[in-house]
Amino acid sequence: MLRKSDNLEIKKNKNVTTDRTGPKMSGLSRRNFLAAGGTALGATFSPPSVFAQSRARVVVIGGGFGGATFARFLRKADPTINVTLIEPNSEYTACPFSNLVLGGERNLSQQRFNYKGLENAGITVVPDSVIHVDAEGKTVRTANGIQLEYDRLLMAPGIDFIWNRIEGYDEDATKVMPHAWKAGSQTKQIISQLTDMDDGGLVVISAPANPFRCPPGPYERASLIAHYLKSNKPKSKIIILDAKDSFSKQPLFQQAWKSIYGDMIEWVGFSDGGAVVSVNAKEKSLSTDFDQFSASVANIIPPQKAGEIAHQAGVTDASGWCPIDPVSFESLIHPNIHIIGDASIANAMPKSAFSANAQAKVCAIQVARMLRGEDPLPTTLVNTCFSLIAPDYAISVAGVYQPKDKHLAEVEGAGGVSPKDATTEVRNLEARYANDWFKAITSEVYG
Amino acid sequence: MIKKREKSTTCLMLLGLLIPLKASLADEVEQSDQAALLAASCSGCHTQNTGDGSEYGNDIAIRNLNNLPTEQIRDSLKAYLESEESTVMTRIAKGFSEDEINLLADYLGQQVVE
Repeated sequence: MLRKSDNLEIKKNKNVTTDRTGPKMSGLSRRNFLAAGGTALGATFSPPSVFAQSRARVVVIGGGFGGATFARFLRKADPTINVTLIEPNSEYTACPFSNLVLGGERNLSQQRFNYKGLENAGITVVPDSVIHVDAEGKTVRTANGIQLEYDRLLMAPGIDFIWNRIEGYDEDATKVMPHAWKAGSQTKQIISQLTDMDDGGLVVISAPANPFRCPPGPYERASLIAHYLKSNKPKSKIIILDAKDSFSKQPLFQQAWKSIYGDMIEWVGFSDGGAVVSVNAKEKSLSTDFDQFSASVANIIPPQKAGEIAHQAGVTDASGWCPIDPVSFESLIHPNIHIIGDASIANAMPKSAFSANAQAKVCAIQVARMLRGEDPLPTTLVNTCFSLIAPDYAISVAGVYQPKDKHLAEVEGAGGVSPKDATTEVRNLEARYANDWFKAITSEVYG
Repeated sequence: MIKKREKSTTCLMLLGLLIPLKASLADEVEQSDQAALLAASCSGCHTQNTGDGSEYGNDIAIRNLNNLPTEQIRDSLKAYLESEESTVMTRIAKGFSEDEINLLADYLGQQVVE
């Protein structure tokens, strides 16, 4: 009985989504009535044609941690919703733990996940790319010419790079100086460069200014490359050239670098001339305002913006990211479009797989509520990021977030990083937590 | 639309006895959604899929919450609130109110997996 009235509510709302207040009121009273009055009475006030209409349609752009989690949990929140996920790759290559691949401790194949689990959960997975979003007409068009209508659209397009913000660093240059900030072939390239490098070679990592995907990522990467070099090419050196003056979990990283890798890793902050202003891909060299570096391995993590389709859809602002309502994750620019994960402006919440996964589950429940004509409910969200400094040595940062003054703000008195002078046992335990987290999240999303 | 609403209002009045029942049902839906929203941040680590008998075996450091009674979950979360130690969960638990912890414990305590 309840299920049936829910269906009716969804169908009804589909026709009246332009006016959010009026129809919602009448929708609720009908729903109350149907639930209270039984099928026979309900039919009196529901035109038979309502039953013939299609189910609520939700289109999801992107099959990463955000999009794939959202699709699964929306089906869970309401199995009557028609969920279509559009993703060009048949397999997703996860970024978390891909630094272990660079460290020689993991295969890239262990980072790959397919969409069979999503299909088994009743989600229509379309191997295609959305090239056009019509926010007014509520349709999307794909590269293969498919046009889909939606009642609500979820965009989880992740990041794209701002080419030439570092002079000379464009898509072509990535073949010589990989970013590997989307895992896959770029990851392999760094591995082959590390393998080819002589003992005593120089690895340079260029880290961007905030905000960017995975704030502790560049420093975990330096750590795990050092782990590889320590046993294979111990005379080598890693320099991190940074466009900012501080970074996530900095004291913990620097303390551990010293104790595990000695002087192998050197960090140069913005004030000390760390910002890379130009590169020369032919010579594999990087220039700051003060210095030039000739690298055996040059890993440029470029400045970033929301995935390209978000710009086309018109849901980005001048920052290059997508402003959202902190309760519903609905775009502040176009209604009926929700944005989660790296592409969204989630304020205090960092751009991480953990954040995207938590936001996705919250957003799925909110979208199901909104399709039923109910208001989204403010809630509390968590992010936790583990960073491996060695395969069995990890540190973490956690944060708790709530909507406050139209922002996702950190809850005071909660969150923070691992203790500075913890025992090795604590670091080992956090490495086990990191491993368990990766297994848990990937099985929840792709299993 | 207006006419319809008048009609259903009349019927709702006739069905006055059943209204409180419906109201409590709506409250229940809202409370269940509230709990699911809070639990959204838990299952990324404490998934139902890992643990005893799964492909990951028993060698897991992050506790699986399947089949844990409500009281045990509530007591653990409240213990984290008091704890001086800085484990991941003490840092996270301190961001939740007592009401939220009770709601979460009730919700997660019903997570029965065979």
